[in-house]
Amino acid sequence: MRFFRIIFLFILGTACCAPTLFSQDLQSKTGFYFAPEYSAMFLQNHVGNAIGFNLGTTLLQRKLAIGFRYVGRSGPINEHAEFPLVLPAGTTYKGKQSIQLGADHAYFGLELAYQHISKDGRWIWKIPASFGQVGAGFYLKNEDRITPDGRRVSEWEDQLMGDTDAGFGLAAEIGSYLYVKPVQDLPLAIGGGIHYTRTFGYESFVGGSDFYNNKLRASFGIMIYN
Amino acid sequence: MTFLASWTSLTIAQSTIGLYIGTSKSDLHTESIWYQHQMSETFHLGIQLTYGQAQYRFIQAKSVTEGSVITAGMPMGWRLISKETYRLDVNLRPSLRWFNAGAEYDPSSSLALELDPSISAGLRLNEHLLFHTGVMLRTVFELSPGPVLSEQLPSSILLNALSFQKHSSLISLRTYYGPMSGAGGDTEKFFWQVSIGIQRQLGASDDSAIPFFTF
Repeated sequence: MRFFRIIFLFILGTACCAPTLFSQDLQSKTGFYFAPEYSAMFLQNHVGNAIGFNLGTTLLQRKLAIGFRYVGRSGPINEHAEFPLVLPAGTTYKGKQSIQLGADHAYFGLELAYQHISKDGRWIWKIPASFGQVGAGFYLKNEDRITPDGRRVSEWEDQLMGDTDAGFGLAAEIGSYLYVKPVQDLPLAIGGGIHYTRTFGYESFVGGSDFYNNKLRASFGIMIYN
Repeated sequence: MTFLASWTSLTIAQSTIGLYIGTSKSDLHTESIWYQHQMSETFHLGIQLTYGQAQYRFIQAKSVTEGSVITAGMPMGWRLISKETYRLDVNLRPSLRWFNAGAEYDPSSSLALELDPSISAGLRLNEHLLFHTGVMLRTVFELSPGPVLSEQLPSSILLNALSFQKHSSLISLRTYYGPMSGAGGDTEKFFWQVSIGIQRQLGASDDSAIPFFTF
């Protein structure tokens, strides 16, 4: 019952707050932005594909942006990146002693950005900094996800990798975007950026603590804003 | 009487009916039909029924490659900003999902609650073309046969749609894609869906306005 009460309160709260938060008075002083993007993550020995978004509000004549940032490097869109797991002598999985693993990652952080819009409104330069949590891991892929004994695949992953198949840590990013607005009357800009990432406390079974640490990421996407 | 006539006109004008057919990583094919009604100037509420033939879903966080899925939802949307060339909405779609995988699976069926909050922006590209983009934080709690309350932790699915608008009808190509997380990693890892849909506003409507859009 407590669970449903929380959901009910969430729905009620959103219904009540939304009109106030986006009242005409507030709209004249603030703006919003939503920027879905594709990223190339320059990781150890490979380039990872990732998708994500930035979402938030702008203040101070659109010079300051506050919001959320998400970057997800999902395994199935990175089939080219495989990581070998050699099991100890006497241990096999479906008869194999060497398994190719997939890897995935997600970063969710709060972001603060300075943004400069050119006088004619055609160019936007944005410098975001964000801080949040990273979660990443290695997993059995493709046919190996069908386990030989019907147990959950995560139970096998925990067993084969000694509970170190996935982990969490903190992460920070700083970057720079340049957007151009192709049509004057449309609140749409196209652009790209480069970002530097550091992780704190994340260590993985394969790749150690530097798998996602001290790395660059290039992004390309659109931004809807007002 | 005048008030009643005005109110009737407003409510009829702002009702929307629609359907889509598509395919996804989860379902070989999926079909959905919905009706949505404008309850106030900024709030929409509706019902949505979806059927799918499963090809990669989960019961108790174990993969299932066949079965049928029926979802009954109550989509609601709050219009935050509406201008001539764009609009911004936040949406929530609480739904009950019933999945029957067939007798060869044990357990063979499940009941889940899906929430799917999203934010979407609609842009008018020209007189007939609209572009929608947004993000859905896909969230699913499996309730039965046993609770797997993290079946989908809020997973960031990007939404995009390109629509052709003629009078009060909208023909759209919709895409969903994004990483999936939850259930200790026992998910499909990445979700995609492509669908073609049509929605129509009932009664008189303002063709120049960007209509409410149900993803």
